[in-house]
Amino acid sequence: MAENKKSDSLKKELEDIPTKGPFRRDYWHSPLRGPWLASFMSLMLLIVIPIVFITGLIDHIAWNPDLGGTNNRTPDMGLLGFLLGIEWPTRPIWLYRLTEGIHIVLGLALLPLVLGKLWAIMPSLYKWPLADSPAHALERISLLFVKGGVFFQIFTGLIYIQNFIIFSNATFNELHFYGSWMFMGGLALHVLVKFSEMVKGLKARPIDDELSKSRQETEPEPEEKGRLVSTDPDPPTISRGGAIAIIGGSSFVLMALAIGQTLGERWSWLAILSPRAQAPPGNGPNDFRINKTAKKANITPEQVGPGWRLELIGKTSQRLSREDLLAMPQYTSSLPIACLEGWSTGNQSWQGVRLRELAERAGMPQAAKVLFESLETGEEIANKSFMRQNQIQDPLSLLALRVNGADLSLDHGYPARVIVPATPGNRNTKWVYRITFMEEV
Amino acid sequence: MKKIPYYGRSLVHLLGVLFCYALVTYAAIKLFGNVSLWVALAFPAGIAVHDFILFPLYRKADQVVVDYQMKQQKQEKKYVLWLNHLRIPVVISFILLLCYFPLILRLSSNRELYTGLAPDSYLYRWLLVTAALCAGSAVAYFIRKR
Repeated sequence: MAENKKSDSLKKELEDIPTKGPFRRDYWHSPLRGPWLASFMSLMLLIVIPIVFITGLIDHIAWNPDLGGTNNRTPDMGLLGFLLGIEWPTRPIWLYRLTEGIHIVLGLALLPLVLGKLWAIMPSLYKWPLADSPAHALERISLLFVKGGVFFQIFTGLIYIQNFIIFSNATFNELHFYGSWMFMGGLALHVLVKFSEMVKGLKARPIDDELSKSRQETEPEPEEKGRLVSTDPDPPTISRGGAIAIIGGSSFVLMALAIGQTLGERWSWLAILSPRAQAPPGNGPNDFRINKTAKKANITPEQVGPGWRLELIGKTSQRLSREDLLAMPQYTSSLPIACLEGWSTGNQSWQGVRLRELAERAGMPQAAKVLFESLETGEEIANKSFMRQNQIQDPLSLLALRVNGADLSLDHGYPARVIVPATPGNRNTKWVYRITFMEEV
Repeated sequence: MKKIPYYGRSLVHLLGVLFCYALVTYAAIKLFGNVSLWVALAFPAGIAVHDFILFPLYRKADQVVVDYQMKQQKQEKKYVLWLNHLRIPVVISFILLLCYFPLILRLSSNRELYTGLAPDSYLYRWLLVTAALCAGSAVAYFIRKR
């Protein structure tokens, strides 16, 4: 008996759900919500998200993950490694600076757009019954990957660029890479199911008309099959164009305050909230942005003193002092440092020995691959780096000894560092002590 | 398009569902092979924080301000809507906080060691941006009111 009673009350409670809280249609009062606004926000996201996703994949390629070792930050990616083996170009020299800058700046701009979109569709999350068929249930469960996924991607990225270390570098790469695929899986289904609805929603009201309406002219959208339009709308306190302007304006402010760290030191003043916009104080030749200091990398003065030798390994094996390197032909390359965290420096004038002449000297002018090893200890990801033939052969690729007319500072990799055009900063090893040329990839 | 019996949507829908779940499952297997399964909770947690904390809070806060504005509107004959002059700086400032909280709240403790940069007060910078936004919005309001 008691059992029956319990199940009866449960049944009644379930029946009552549509009359409760956010499940009630008159719980929602905004006159702005409706298919048009939801579709407009979807369109914004549908433009921005693919760019962020693709520039993210470009970062993945830019590391030449097929060379292995620390170049491959997600070693067991299986089928998701289908992009492996693409040769990352060295020109234009600002290529990585551009793609990674876009990834970070637009990635930041996503947050307000996502929040705005979620605001616009909030009532439709409280449908009852939750699903009308198994198909619908699977579709709605997949929203976990879309909504949870976009937050996951934005926040792992945000935490990483601010050096807020609640996970290690290695973990970040796993989270952000596989997280993006989980998100894209969910998003693919969502777009498949909703794309026609978005087009219909946008066509119902011309965008220009809607954006030029004043607050007083703003009316609720006509009743629709879904449940976005309020059945009990308040008078408008803002026009649709105004609401979109607040969301878009927030994105714009985020981008404006972030782009200064990609544009170089001249724009630092604008990037006041960006983690890496500022350069070390001073106007000296070495006073440009640093990713990691010598102190953090555990470099000791003895390691880089007169006793430092470069081991050059190929067909032969040699040990070269800094003087030996300075006695070789010196070339100048004007190249930026561009970090995967989205910041970069303007072009710096690097001076040193061409990598391809080092390859010749090692008896391997046609080397297919090279390994640079650094004195730094700690993070494994930075103390080894592989590059491929096109990077060795580029005439701008140097083992730099000097920058802007002075010796490299200790923080910038003294006695010698690698600098290769269009290559992620992290791959341009600092404090090099060994270079190994290899015949095969 | 023809619905598949017992499924409730078209064949294209079914293919979409299969693609989605296959890709998500594959990526999840790869991910959780290397990191703790607890991380999976971040997906529902993100949604819960947004839907059950953030959204109700800002909805309520906005409602309070709107009600206050409406009350004033009824009492005064001549009025200028100030509501959006409050909404704009608050929204932008809040989103900046949401983005940069690790820096603003000084959670990135080893930043100086990494970058060689002085430990700037991002809290101070954020407050400065907020103040500038509020001031700009207030000036715009008084210009409109005149």
